[in-house]
Amino acid sequence: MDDPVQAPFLSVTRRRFLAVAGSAAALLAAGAEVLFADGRLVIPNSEGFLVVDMKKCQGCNTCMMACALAHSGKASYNLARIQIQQDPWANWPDDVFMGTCRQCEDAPCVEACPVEPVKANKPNPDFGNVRMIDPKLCIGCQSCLAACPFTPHRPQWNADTGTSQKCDLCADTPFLGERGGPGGMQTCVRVCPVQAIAFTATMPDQGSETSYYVNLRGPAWRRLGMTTK
Amino acid sequence: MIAPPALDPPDAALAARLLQRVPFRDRLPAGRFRPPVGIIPGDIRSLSSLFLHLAPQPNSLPGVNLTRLPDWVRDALGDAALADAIRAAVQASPSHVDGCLRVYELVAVRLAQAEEVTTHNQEAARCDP
Amino acid sequence: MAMHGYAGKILHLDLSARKANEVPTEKYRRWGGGHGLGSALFWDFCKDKTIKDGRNPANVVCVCTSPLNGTIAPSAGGRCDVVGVGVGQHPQSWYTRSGFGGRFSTMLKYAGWDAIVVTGKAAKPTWVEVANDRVIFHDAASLWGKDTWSAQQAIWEATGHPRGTSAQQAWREVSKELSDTPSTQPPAVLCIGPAGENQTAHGCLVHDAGNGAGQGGFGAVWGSKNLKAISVIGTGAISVADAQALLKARFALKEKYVTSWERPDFGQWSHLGGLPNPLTMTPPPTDQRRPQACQSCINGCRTRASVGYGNESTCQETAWYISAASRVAKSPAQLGEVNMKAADVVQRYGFNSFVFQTGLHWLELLHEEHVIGPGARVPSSLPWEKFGTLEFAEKLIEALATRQDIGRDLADGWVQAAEKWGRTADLSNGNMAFSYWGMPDHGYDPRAELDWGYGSILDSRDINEHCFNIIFTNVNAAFAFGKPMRLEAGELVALIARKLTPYVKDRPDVLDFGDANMYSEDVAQLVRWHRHYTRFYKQSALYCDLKWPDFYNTNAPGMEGATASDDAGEQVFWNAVTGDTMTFDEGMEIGRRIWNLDNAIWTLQGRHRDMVHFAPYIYQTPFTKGELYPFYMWPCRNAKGEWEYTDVMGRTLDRRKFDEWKTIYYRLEGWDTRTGWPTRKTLSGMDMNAVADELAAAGRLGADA
Repeated sequence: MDDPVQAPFLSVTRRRFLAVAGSAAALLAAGAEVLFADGRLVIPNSEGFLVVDMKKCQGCNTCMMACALAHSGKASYNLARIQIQQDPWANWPDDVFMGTCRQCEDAPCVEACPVEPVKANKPNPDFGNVRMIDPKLCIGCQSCLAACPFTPHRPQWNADTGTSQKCDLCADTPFLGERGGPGGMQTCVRVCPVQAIAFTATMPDQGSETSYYVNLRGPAWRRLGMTTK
Repeated sequence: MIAPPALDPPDAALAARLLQRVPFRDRLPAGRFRPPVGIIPGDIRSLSSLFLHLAPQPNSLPGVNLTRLPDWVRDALGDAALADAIRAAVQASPSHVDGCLRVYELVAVRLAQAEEVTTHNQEAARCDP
Repeated sequence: MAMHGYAGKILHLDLSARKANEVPTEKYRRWGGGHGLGSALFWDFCKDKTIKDGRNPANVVCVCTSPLNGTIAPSAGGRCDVVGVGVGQHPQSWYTRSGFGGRFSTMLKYAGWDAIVVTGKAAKPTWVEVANDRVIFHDAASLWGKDTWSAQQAIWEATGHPRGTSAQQAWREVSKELSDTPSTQPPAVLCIGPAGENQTAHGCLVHDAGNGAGQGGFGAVWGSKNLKAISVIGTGAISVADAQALLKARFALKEKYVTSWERPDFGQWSHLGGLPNPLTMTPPPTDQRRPQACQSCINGCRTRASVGYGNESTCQETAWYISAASRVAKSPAQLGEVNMKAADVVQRYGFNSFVFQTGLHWLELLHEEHVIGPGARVPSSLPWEKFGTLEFAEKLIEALATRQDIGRDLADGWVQAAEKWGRTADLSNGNMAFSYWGMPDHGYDPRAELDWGYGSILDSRDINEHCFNIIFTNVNAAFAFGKPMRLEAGELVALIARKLTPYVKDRPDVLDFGDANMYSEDVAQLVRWHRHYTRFYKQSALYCDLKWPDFYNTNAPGMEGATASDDAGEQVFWNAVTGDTMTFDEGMEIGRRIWNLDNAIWTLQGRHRDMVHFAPYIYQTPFTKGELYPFYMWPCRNAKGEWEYTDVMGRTLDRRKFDEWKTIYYRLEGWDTRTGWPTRKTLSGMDMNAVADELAAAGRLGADA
């Protein structure tokens, strides 16, 4: 489709871009980033995304703790690459917010990474181009945190390592014991007691604030007396 | 659900009495069981609260002695016909919950009858010059 | 040395000196965490263990986490145990406990603390802010008088955390002086309301909208110390010995022992294997809602709905007013609304509604008999004619929370009020169904469910431990519906007995509560197992009572439950977190040690076996059909020795036989059978000689057999 991408750094449609940059397309298909002469950066799409049902989340934060454990071996809210927020006195459905990384098509956090010659934050072709921060390359400038257009910003600061980190769809999870990344396991998806998080290989609409918020409630939910709308 | 047996409408005096609350000493102990956590104690003091108590709920079970209930209906509420109908319904029930449902239906009918008779009499009294 | 699972230090708040001190956790490691940690801390910090009222300034109150808090140990990530001498029990208040859930313990761990010990008394109302290592004592003058919700919200605001129904909050610094440690989370606050500020026996501790440490009157203890609230926010992490094993066990628990979302078995029999369902006593008012859970829970038991009331309330606080409200409600919907709003009232006042389990009925009786009311012997200007309305509920709670009207006498204990009002006969005839230590029976009547009654009277409170009570739930619901039993009696007890290690493994007779067995050594063994299991696994490791133990599980192969299993048992998660190599039995031994320490404290407080008796009505009046529920089915052996589900209603306890049973029980525990006191032989066998020394110095050490 030709809807303009609502990203701060690009003002043309991706398709039109590819149409005039055939060689760029080939490069992108091979997993490389392409930096055009006019300064625009185009990166290959992630092959996986997390979508969430915020009407379903039970606020147990198991996903946060499990995420931190799988990546770092420690349990922590701060080290979690998914952030759940709650207000105990607010009314459903506004009492819970689920902040997951969107693996943005034209990820501002990747664009913002100043590290050269190889960015610390970039798509990883070994794991379906998931946007990953390499802690060995990260210089701790936190530009990616500031560049994220969402609240709370989806990359986090890891005070232990002095580097930024972000959701990598469990690509680099030394404590998980199974392969992660697109095509593999996502810890938060598997551990969630109510299945409020799902993995999809289909990129949600990048122009929509709510395209990552989906309805994951089925017949069992209805049978428990809760709305599936 | 088998349709409840027909009950002749109560007379005016009984109808009015059925809409009243009985004295505390005449209450019928009853409870509610909420698996998996609790038994809620309580008691019944009127036909309408019996109706509410027996209303089917998805997550809890009414606790009322269905064997003792007919005697209470007869003695505390003064409704022998309802008592007999309840006794027959309970005897025909294969389980406690089924019995509660049958009694619920009977009580619903009786409560509606009492309200109708009372309302009719009140209107008649207003119209009577 | 790394202490996986532990933060490594304990926060001591000396309110008198207005100082925060640090105590190393290492010394207390062998007590596990939670209650065990709390009892050991109480033993060390409380200089006068003879106190009988928790409002004594010498009292020490501990708020304790476990190594499992803040991790994904299923339904153990967010529980917390509070210990200390309570308020309002009869004939005296014991060293006791109360648990609560939510996220306070998680946050405390991430802030770097395993427990909080509160000693002394602040000179004026105080609240304490904990932000990682930073501890600040604040003046609480502006908070004193606020209800628990308003107070927490004011603290959120004071610490810079905004509210808002959109709930999207940016990363923010947790305190002015802690840069580079942002969080997206609001502080976790534990606080008291008017019921605690006025030091009433009803005072409890409330966290967020609906988590409460209700029993024991700890709200009154905090009120007596001028402590309004503790706010905690933490940005740290808990190191885990084997994160991979922990994740694997968590996946195994969910995928093997919990019914699936795709093909759910709504009739499954288990403790932890169901789907999230709010345990509200009236149906939720709308389908516009979500389940809501404590940290790491496997299936949440609360809810938040669109209607604006009842958030996070569950169980008791949603039961206390049902019977009253049903007097006046015109419809089930109206009944539900009044009931859930009544839950909000007790949450806001920080009021333990458990007293109304049987107490509200007693008050109604007194009013009907003109003992309470305008111009009555016990004057009351409450609007009794509006009994059952929300207005009456609010006025009643306000009166009892602020020591007004009948609250003046009830504030220091209900049995004490009954004595003052000349109504002690109600304790004999059952009008006042307060069965143990001045508190109501739970509905699981001591005359029927022996594990519950015996455990409560040997302990310090209504135990509120549903370990074996799941039998009652599963069996009686099926019986009520006339449905076939998922497990026949013999099969059920065999499955449970398989887990009753180390004392009575594969000995199902311990579960026979029939008339012929109710005072037996069998039942004493069961109670012993129960005390030790709960003291460690549920109150120290902090596995939630609503999910554990999982004895049998129809979702799992062979219907064996998760408890003590090799793939997802309690000890599996404990070891994955801590790096221990603890067997299930070794955990039970820790529980035995903690139980002995608690009995030592009670002994110092003045306990003697002659005090360990139920209220008279338990011995004098039968538990009759229809009193609460028309039957009480329990697995028992019949005259032919076969197992069947039997109705155990209709009996009393025999006081003399119960006394004899206590002797059997004390002997099993290795306590002096003449007094019920711990002995040196038993204590030294658990490396507790110092405890024996203190008992001996007080002249209260049991004689070795």
